[in-house]
Formats: sequence, C-alpha cells, structure tokens
Amino acid sequence: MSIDINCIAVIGKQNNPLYIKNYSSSHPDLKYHYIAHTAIDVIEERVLNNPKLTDAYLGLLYAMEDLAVYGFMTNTRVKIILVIAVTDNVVKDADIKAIFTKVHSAYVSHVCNPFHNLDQDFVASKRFSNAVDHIGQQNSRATIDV
Amino acid sequence: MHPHSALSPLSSQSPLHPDGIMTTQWYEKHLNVYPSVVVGFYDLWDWSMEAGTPQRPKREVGPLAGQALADPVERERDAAMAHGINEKRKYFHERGVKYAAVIILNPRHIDDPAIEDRLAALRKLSGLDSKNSLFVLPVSTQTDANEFINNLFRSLYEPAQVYYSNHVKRVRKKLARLPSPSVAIRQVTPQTADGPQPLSVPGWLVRYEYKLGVFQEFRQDIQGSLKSYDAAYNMLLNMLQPSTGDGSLKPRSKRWKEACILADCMNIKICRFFLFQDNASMALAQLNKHLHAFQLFSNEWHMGERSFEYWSWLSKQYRVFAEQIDIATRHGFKLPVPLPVQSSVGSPPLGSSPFLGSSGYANQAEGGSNPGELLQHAGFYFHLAAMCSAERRRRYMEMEKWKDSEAKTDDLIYRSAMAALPEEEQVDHSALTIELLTKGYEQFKKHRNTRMTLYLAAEIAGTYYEAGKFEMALKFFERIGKTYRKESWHTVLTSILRWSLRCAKELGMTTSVVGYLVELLCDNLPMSQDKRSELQNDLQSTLTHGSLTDDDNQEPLIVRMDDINSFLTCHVQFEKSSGFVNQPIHFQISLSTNKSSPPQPIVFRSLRIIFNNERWNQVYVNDEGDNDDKDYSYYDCTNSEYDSTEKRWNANAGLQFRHGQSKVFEGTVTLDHSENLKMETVMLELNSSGRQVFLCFDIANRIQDTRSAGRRKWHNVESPKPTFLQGRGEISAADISQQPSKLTITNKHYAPALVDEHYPFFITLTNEESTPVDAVIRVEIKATETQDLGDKLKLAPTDDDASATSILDIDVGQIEGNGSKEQILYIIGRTTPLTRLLNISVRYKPSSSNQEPYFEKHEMVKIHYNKAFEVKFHSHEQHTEYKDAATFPPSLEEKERLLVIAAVRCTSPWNLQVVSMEMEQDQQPSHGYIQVQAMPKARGEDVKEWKKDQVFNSNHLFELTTRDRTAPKTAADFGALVITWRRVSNIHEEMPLCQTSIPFPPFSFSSTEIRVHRGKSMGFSN
Repeated sequence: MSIDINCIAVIGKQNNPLYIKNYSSSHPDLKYHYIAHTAIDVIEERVLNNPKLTDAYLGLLYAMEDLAVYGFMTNTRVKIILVIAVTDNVVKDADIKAIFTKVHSAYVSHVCNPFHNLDQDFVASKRFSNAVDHIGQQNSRATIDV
Repeated sequence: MHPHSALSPLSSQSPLHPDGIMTTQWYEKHLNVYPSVVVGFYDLWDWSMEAGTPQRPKREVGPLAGQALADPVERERDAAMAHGINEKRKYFHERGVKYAAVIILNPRHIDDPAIEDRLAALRKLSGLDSKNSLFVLPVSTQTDANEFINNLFRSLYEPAQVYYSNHVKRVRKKLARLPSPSVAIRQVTPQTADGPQPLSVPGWLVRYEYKLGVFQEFRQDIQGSLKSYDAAYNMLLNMLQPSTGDGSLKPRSKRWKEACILADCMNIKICRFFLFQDNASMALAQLNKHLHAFQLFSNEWHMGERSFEYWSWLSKQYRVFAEQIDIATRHGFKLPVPLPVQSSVGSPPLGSSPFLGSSGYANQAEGGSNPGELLQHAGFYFHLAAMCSAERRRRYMEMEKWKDSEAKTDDLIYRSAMAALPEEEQVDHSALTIELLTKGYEQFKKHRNTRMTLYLAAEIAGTYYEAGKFEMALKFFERIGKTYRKESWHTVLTSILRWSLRCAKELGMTTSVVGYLVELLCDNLPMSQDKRSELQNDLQSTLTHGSLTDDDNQEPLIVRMDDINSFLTCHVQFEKSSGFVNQPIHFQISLSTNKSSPPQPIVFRSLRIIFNNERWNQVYVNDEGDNDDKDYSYYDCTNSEYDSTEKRWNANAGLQFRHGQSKVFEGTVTLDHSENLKMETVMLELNSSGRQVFLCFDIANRIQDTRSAGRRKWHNVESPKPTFLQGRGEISAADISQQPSKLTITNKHYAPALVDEHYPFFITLTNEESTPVDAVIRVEIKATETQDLGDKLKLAPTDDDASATSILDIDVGQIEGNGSKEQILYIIGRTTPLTRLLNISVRYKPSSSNQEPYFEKHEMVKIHYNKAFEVKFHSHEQHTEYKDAATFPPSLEEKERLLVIAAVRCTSPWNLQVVSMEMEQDQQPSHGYIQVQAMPKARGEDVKEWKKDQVFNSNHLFELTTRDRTAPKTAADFGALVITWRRVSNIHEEMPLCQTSIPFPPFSFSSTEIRVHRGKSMGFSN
C-alpha cells in the first residue's frame, strides 16, 4: 500500500523548526509549517497524558482536511512529524514507524557530527537534507511492502 | 378506515399533496402538540370555596355518625367532578391517549375523616383506577411537590411509551401494506400524466420509516429508531440519486428541497445516535457517507464544487456535526485517541489480517488505522466548516464577477447559481467564516491546542483582511506573531509579517509599516532576493516620501531590534569592566549585516551610543566620503569631540552597510568622576525626511547567558580576526572609580621596647601624588595573646593617662603633594615582655574630593618587649632579739633583723637613666603577727646611667617583729622596690620618667629558729 508523504518536519527541543520539507504540490510550504507547528501541541499532550508510552512513535496526531499528521519524539525531545495525504486506506503503524526510523537515523548521524550546533537549522547540511529528501521523495511515489 | 390526516399527501388540503414525503409540521405536531399522556388537575371541592356561605355544618363524629359522614353537598359536587373527569378520560381514551387526574387537597381536608371515602367515590365514578391514573396531591412543601412530580413522571412514563408503541405498530401495519421497494421502483417508472404524480411507493416507504424513527425516538428506543432512520435515509438517498432515482424529485423543485433537508436532518439524527452509543467511527462514517453521496449528486444537479451553494451546504453539514460532537463531549463522550499499539517486540503483530482493512479505527489493534476515519474534536469540524465557508465566499465572488462581465454563458452551473445569487448577496460571508473559526478556536483552546488556536487566529485574521477589516486583522496578526517569532518559525512569521504589512499600509500606520519592513529585511525570513530588494525599496520610499514626512508627530520613530528578527547584529564591548577617573576607557560597537541582506547597501545617518549618563553620549555621523566596501572595517572614533550645544561627543565614521559586512567602531569615554557607566542603547538613525527613525538595540536589557556566550572579543584595526579578552559574553557597563592615590606608610621605632616605658613610635605618611591628600590613621595595639594586658596608646608623652586608649585615631590632616608627614605616638606596654602587634590603618582621599575617605592601607608592626630590670633578692639574717623569757608571764615578743640585698640588673639593651630606687611600703601590713619595718639606710651615691647587664645592689635592712613567737610562722609582704627611670637617648630627653616596681619577696622569721633556740640554750650553756 502506498503512503503519500507530503511533508517531513524535524522540530528541535525548544520547538523551533530544524527542517521542514514539502514533498507535495497540493499545498504551499506555509501550510506545512503551520501543520508542523500545530502538531507540537498534540505531541506534548499525548506524551503528558500517556506516561506509559515507551515508544518514540506516537501514532496519528490529527487529521486536518485531507492531511494526516503523525508524530515521533526522540529521547532528547526532538520531534519528527510526518504529513501524509489521507486516502481511503488503512495506514499501518508499522509503515509509518519505518519512515520515522529512517528519518531518525538520518538525524542521529547528522548530530553525530561534532561540529554541528544542535539547535541550529539543518537546512545547511546537505547530507541530512539529501537523506531526508530521499525518504520523502521515495515514499511519495513508491510503495512499501511490509 | 381512518380519514387521512390533514398532513397526509392524500389530503388535498395538505401541504404535501399530492407527492410530498414529509413536512416539518408533522414533526412539530408530534413533538409539541400531540400529547402521549394528559394530566388534569382538580381541586377537591370544599365549603370554603363557596363565597358568602356559612361554615359548613359540623360533621358528626362518633359511632353513630355512620353514613351521615358524607356531606350531601360535597357528594353532589364530587359526583359532578367525577363526571367531568370521566368525560375527559373517555375522550382521550378514544384517541389512545392516557388520561390521568391529580386531585389537589387543601389544608382543611387533611383532618377530614370523610376524605378517604370521598376519594374512593371519586375513583369509582371517574372510571380511573387508583394505581396510575388518579393521584392525590396533599398540601405540601416544595420538596414534596418535586417528589410528587417525579413520581408522577415515573408512573406515566410507561403509558407514554405505550402511546408511541401503538403509533409504531400502526405505522408498521401501514408499511407492511406497501409493496417492497424493489417492486415499487419498477411500478412507478411509467410517467403518464403531465400533472404532479402522487407520492411514489419509495416515497411512502421513506415517509413511514421516518415516522417509525420518530416514534421510536420518542419512545426512547434509540436502537430501533436508528434502524428506521437509517432505512429511511438510505431509501431517500436512492430517490435523490439523479441517475437511478425515480425522477419524482426534480432538482430545485419544492419537493427536492424538502427531500434534501430531510436527508440532512436524518443524517444528523443518525450521527447523533451513534454518538449516544459511543460509536465514534460509525458517526463519522455516516457523515462521510452523507457528504460523499451529496457531493456526487451535486455535480449532477449543477451545483457541484464550483458553486457557492455546494460550499454553503457543506459548511452547514460540518458545522452541525461539530455542534453534535461538542454536545456529546460535554455530556461525557470520550473521543478516541489513536495511540499506536505498544508492542513489546518491534515487529508488527503476526495476526494482522488484510480482511479487517477497511473497518477503520476498529482495527487499530492490528497496528493501523485510516486517518480519514478518525473522529476528532469539534474544533476540527468547525475549522472545516469555516474553510468551506471561505470557499463559498470565493465561489460567490467568482459568480459576482461573472454576472457583471459581458460574456454570457450557457453553463448550467452559472445559470443555476444566478438564480440563487440574490439570496447569496444578503449573506455576510466573512462574518460567517469568522464565527466558525472562532467556534473552532474556542474548541481548540478547550482542548489546550494553543498552537492550533494560533493557526485559527491566523485564518481569522486573513478573513478579516479579506473583509476589509484591517484593524481587526492586524490585531490578530500582532497577537500570534510573537509565538512564531519566539519559536523561530520563520516561514510562518514571514507570512504573518507580510499580511501585517498590508494591513498597516491600508491603515496608514507608518510606525508599524517601518517596523514590519525592517524585520522583513532579516535573512532568517525566507524570501527571494528580488522580493527582499522590493521590500527594501519600499522601506526607502516610506522613509523619504511616505506619510512620515507629513506626520505631525515629531517624536522619533523607534524600531526595537532586539524584539524582532534583525538584519543587523550589534555587539558591544568595554575593554575592561572597570576603569579610573580621568583615564579613557575604551569600548567597541561591532555591527554586522546578514549574509545576504540588505540586498542593496543601506546608509545610516548616524550611530548613537547612549549611556546612562547623557553627558557621555556619542554620535558618530556618517562620513559621506567613506565608501569602504571591505568585509571588515574598523573605525577609530576615540577622538570624538564634545559639542557643548548638543551636549554630546561627535565623530565621523562610515555608516554604509551592504550585506555580509561587519564594521567595528571604537570609542573612548573619559569620566571626570567615579560612576557606574552603562551603555543603554545603540541606535542607528535611518535616512528619512521628516521624522527621525532609529533602529534601536537595547543593550542594557539584554539577557545573556555567560556560560553559553562566546569569549569576549576585541577587534583590531586591520584584521577581522579578533583577539580574546578575559571573560565571556558582552560587557556593556564599566565601573569607573577614582584611582587610589599613591601613599606610603613607613614607621620608625627603637626596638625592643621596654615594659612600662613610653615607647615612641613614628609613622611617616609619604604622599607620592602631586596633589594633596587628607589622611586619618587608626592605630590599634594587641598583645599576641588574646588577653588584655592594659596596654595603652597616647599621643603625648605625659603622665596623664586620661587620653590613653588601646585604639587611637589620629587625624593627620592634609599632606601636600609629594610631601610627607610624620606622626609620633607613644606605646605603653604593661606587665609582661610579650610581643605586641600594632595595626596601623590609614584612610585617605585626595583633598579635592568631598567624599568620605575611601582608600585604605593597612600595615602591621610587631614590637618586641624587654623588661628593663631583673632583680634578685638575697636576705641575710642579722640579729635576733628576744625579750626576757623569764618574766612572767613570759614575753613572747621576738625581733629579727634581715639584710636584704636587691641585686638589680639592667636588662635593657639601652642605657637607662635611673633617677631613684626606693622602697615603697605597702599601706596595709599583710600579716597581723609580724611587723616589718625598714631600717634607715645610708644613702649611697645614685648612679645616673645604667648600662646593660650592669648590676646594682641595693641593701635594705628590715626588722621583723612578732608579739607571739609561738604563733605559726608565716611570711609577710613588705612592699616593693620602685625604680624610677627613663631610657637614655636623644629623643627620650622629654620622656616622662617611668616607674618599675619590683615587689620584695615575702619576709619571714628565719627558718632556723629551732636551731637558734638550741643554739641559745647552748649559748646559755656556753
């Protein structure tokens, strides 16, 4: 089943955007910035209300219009947000989680760079954006089989 | 057979005649008009109700009372009432409605023994059995009445249900008589006559199913009602379907409109019932089904997504749905939270089945869900409604444009929209959208989605802008901009700023316009270079040609750069955090532009550095000739000159900035008094005509975390590479104080000091400055051990000890420049030759200063002490005399003479002038039995000057007398040897004499007394 990735966003622990990339043509970038910002609340609420949550993957955060927003939070409170287009299909958590894991590992390998400033924008890093864009573009077309 | 009801499509006067399915009147009738139970309230008759009649006759009470208990008048009245009740009962019974009566008693009835009989008679006559039909309301309090009402309600609940059950049964019978829908559809197809056809079978089916739904709902059978509504709804959808429908519902006809509304209503009913049943996913599924169905139909009806009608309708559906969810959640409905399944193993569960795929939320256990099937809180649906409403407005505007254009079209959408246009023109679209957004805003606020509320606020602001309400729009933009700025959401902020800019321009708010333009110049805000260039031109023209010039307000316009994203960064640094009066203190202001902004060079008129004391304010004016285009430039402004008219320090510097450039301005301030100098603000004055415009960096209120801040930098003339100063961050304040004047303390004394002497101690203060200073000395003496030895300090070498203290303050007065002053003081160390500590502290200030002395210098001096003399006493028994022991009573008196030789050794390293050495007898003899008497002594020649280690003997003859020689022999003190002396030295001439007193050892009769006695007897014998 295909997952149509519209946007991948990485948000720093101070809720500042680190990386936001739009992979769709259906909405302007601004929309995804708003959506990513809005998702912070839902993530915070979900983490607060579910202290037993041990997984970094937080599930579907909310659906707005024709977009579904999924969330993921690392141990260091860095949030990763995935926006996909709502189709009439069931989206498997495992698929979404797999995408998050990939983005997370791209993030980890990026921050392992000792010269990197953790709270700075990631746009400057070619390697990181290549890695994430690869995930975003691949999934916006291709099919994932689990 | 019943005649058809007035609302039936079969009755010619019915609004539904001949082909209507349902009218609101019918629902209205059953909801509000037709009762399921009727209750009549009756007052039980009493004599008091009869006006003007006497008290009713006293009732006989007793065994003989019997039948006569009932008053004939009462009986008559009661019978009449019972008759009335019975009539009513019969009337309602015929209509299948339960009739109940409530008999209200008055206080008089309470004690009436006949009351029971009267009520029993009433029951019998009225035909109402007591259990659930006739109630007696005794005189009661409020709570009793409430209880009664509840009781009444409980008792009548069942008959009411029965009433509706009967209706259900009746309708079911009618429904059963209809042919099955599949047959019916086939039957209806031939349309023959031109006139309106009677209601089709599916129509009747919808009608009866709907009625069933309503009656079951009234009967509180939600499950049954849901089933019937669902059936009616599905059937109605079939009828409405443009291609497969029976064609009886022509689009835009009256019946079609009715049917659409009925479908909408049933949809909401069904959603609502699913919510009652806690079935969130089905509620949402129903809504989606309804929306999808009508979306399809609308296209066929030529009122699809291009028409405002469609969006108006969709907005309404979402809105009503949102309201249902809001009501449900307020009554305890819990929204599902789509938490992922927490699997202990990382892999997806093995049992996931592809067949459960489409059931949405329910199959979440398999680790997935359809995000489109998640029921969310009302805020989301209000937001959707608002979005639809906004779309409706856009479509409407389109139509309006079309209407005015010449190009006429045969487009069906156009034609059908034009028909609805006059009505649409009455609608305030923006107000509607804002209302919906506000409702959504409140929901999100309730669910603590504060950031979502910001998003909605942005939408609200945008809607206000579209509606031309710029002031409101700006208010919202201003409010939300802060959070996005704080959390560095630059893309969002850029959008908000550009909207704000438009609003501010519309409103002619120049101050805000300049502020937004300046912030938009910052690199952080993503934008194409052309766009930014445009904004910079915009800023320039606003400053020079804009309303700024004709603004009456002459107050300078300040843009606070620390509160916004700035295209300039400003760092300040004092070279040192402290400095001295009359010495220049250096500071640097370093200004850097963003990497790619400003797109074109920007020239500032002046750079102003504002201090907490305006006397030191610096103004560096742009040097027109300076066209330095290097990446790094250094400007030496240390030679700024004071302009007494403007009261500021002026210098020139290059103030043209292009992107990616940094400039450092070094200046100095020389204070003429001590002060905590603080740099308050750094201001850059933009080139403007009319009002002054400053970009202002609020240095004083910057909060810096010194731990995370970089090391302090100091820039050089040539190289952009700074050198590092000690410390981190920025130092924007310097403590300027008086430089301590140079003053030295020297002391002179001739150690060791001798116990008891006036030991002169010289302190010399030498002023090494050219200006005079005033000084005060404080001297304190302490023995090395803590005990107080009674040491004293004094200024004058006199015998008068009144002014002597252990702490001495000496006002030295003024010491001329390069001069010195000597101060002498005298130390008297008592008792023991312990080493003394002398603490000297000098407080001083330049004579020119009016403040308290504020410099202090300390010195500590150790003074070794010696004893002046050491004395050894040798006593020699000389002569013993007894009174005649033969006398009777025998005289026990005894006398003894002692020669005491005091060998006084001079232990002072200094020569001493000894004036006298005398005995001093104690005033009180220390012992009662022994008297000591000094015998006259030949005066020897006094030796004036004693040298160290010289020993001088002083012989003293004492006579000890005791009256009772048998008394115990004890020692007796006599007194001391007092030596009066002074040190020999040229400075000591004026010294007062010191006295050292050395106590004689205690005298006693010689211990050889026994031997002496024996000797005496021997003597006798001799």
